[in-house]
Amino acid sequence: MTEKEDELVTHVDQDLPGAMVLTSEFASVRVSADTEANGPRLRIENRQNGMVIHLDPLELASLTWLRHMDLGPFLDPSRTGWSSEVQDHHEGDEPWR
Amino acid sequence: MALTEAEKLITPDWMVHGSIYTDPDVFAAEQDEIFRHTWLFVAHESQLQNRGDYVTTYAGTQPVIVTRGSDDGAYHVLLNRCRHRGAAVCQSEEGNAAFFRCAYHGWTYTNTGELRGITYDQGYEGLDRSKLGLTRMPRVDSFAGFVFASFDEDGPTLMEHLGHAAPYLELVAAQGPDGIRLSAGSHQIAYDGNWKLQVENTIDNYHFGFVHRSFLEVLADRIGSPPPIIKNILTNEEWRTLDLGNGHSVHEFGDPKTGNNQGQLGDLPFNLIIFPNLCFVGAQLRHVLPKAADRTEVRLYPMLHEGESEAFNASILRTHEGFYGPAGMGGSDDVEVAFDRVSDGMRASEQDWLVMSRGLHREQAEPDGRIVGRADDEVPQRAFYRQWIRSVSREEIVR
Amino acid sequence: MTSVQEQVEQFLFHEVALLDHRDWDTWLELYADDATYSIPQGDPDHARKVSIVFDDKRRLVERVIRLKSGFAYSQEPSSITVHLVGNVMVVKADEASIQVASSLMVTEVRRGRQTVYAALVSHTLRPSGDSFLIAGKEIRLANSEVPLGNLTFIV
Repeated sequence: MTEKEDELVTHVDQDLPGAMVLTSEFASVRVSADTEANGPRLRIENRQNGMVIHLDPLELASLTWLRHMDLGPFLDPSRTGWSSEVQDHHEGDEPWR
Repeated sequence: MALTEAEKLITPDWMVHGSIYTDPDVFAAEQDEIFRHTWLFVAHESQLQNRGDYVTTYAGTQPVIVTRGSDDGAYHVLLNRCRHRGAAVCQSEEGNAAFFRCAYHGWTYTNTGELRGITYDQGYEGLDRSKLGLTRMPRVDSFAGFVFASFDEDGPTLMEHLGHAAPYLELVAAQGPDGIRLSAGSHQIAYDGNWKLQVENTIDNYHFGFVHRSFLEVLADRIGSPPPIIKNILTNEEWRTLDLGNGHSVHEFGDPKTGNNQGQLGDLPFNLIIFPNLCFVGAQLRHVLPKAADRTEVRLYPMLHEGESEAFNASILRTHEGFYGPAGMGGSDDVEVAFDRVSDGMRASEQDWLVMSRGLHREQAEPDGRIVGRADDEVPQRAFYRQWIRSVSREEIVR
Repeated sequence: MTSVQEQVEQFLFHEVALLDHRDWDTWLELYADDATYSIPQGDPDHARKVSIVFDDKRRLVERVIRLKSGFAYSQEPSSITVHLVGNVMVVKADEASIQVASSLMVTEVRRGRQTVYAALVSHTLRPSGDSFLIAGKEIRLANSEVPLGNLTFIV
């Protein structure tokens, strides 16, 4: 991996120690371990709109059972932020409708 | 292209008409009759080692995304064009993604091509999403690590197409102790001339002592004596050209496992042409990309040896850079003489014929259909154009 | 007394003037025996990635042999070049070496066509007598990653 790619993929965020930035040509997210709650969680921030989700270890473990195509419904843009029924999303809402 | 027209372009005594290189209608016929039907190289497996990996490249003139399914790991070749309003979906030369999202209006596809979703989808009624996936090349297959695809649902299998060329591809794949990899990037060159000029020039020992005279002087200075390559081309009986059938050809520098070009060009024991636009020479895989009758781009990928040290592989790169690429001391003279000056010369079209009969009288047919000639004969050029005329005319014209 | 900045600028101007006048033998003398001269494609990683040029002194000598042979068809006739060096900055200097960054624009005319190349250049200079030797030169062409034609003149 070249220096430039290295920087793009995993630069350490000054504001959020331990955070990693993962960027593709389609999306950019900031990922970090969050210890503010009563138990540890993975914090994922969508850098394109600032939306955040925290996933607990059981949720993460369950993800490992999925095939990528099981994530298909989340990838349908009309169900994740580009719905004809315009609606603001906040953490705590259902992630898609 | 109608049979009668195609037939006129190459005479029985191997005069080739200049319009083959210059006429946009011939270029269009090649796209329809050759590139729409034959197997086309798209990638090497070393470029797609992980599920979800993708590269963008060209199948002939067509921009494609070569992907490995995130779940099945299978190879898929998709046209890089959003089915909505035509934008190229992937911009990166390589990446890893299970889903692609078009930047224009957000249409989202799986990396196997299905249309996964549309933004603000209540704006459509009765749209059949199942028919609006990224266009797939219907046949994808690989041999010895080389991934090919075809726009034709029917036709010969990849193995039938490769035929006698297959064993040579296996030898290329076995160059390193653990195979080869295309991880070093590529040189990219461009010229205002026809794509076939580059393919033909890949096996043309006849030109070496002329076009590469300056490199021979460099070599003489490097090794302290005249390099033996020209003497070998003219007199070494073990150096030979072969028409492998189906448009493929090879030049062997002696034994195809252990031979040596003695020219410090790279270590492949042979030069190989896989019809229509894949070549191997020196230590490189050469992907010839037709753009127009008078415009071509070429990508030269040095093949590194898997299982060798970084220093060994760096020496492959240095040898390659010495001869090839836009600043190379050899390939640049091919661009100048064999492409640019030929393209200039062919504007003089009063006697619009090229002579491609060198060695016709002394080539030997083998029982298995291969044709063997001397190192400096035009056997490879005739091998190419035998398949070319069969393809563009869709008839069995014997030349 | 001239400043390091002025000395370095004069040296860089001198180097490209030799190239514009195709005085390759004198140009070669500017390079240390252990020098490297490179034109990477994108970010340099010469051990693992192919470069447009990654020459040691020996290969620079070979380039000059070739250019002078009369048979280097891609330079017969030679490119006419005008090199313009600007934005010269001494990045780092100690007694052993000086790191210099500069911007380069080369206008090249050949085969009836004018081509303009732009590059960020870094020199590693080694003090030698009242001048310098070039221990390293890296030319980062702005268009290193797009298909190129003929780069066989010395950039």
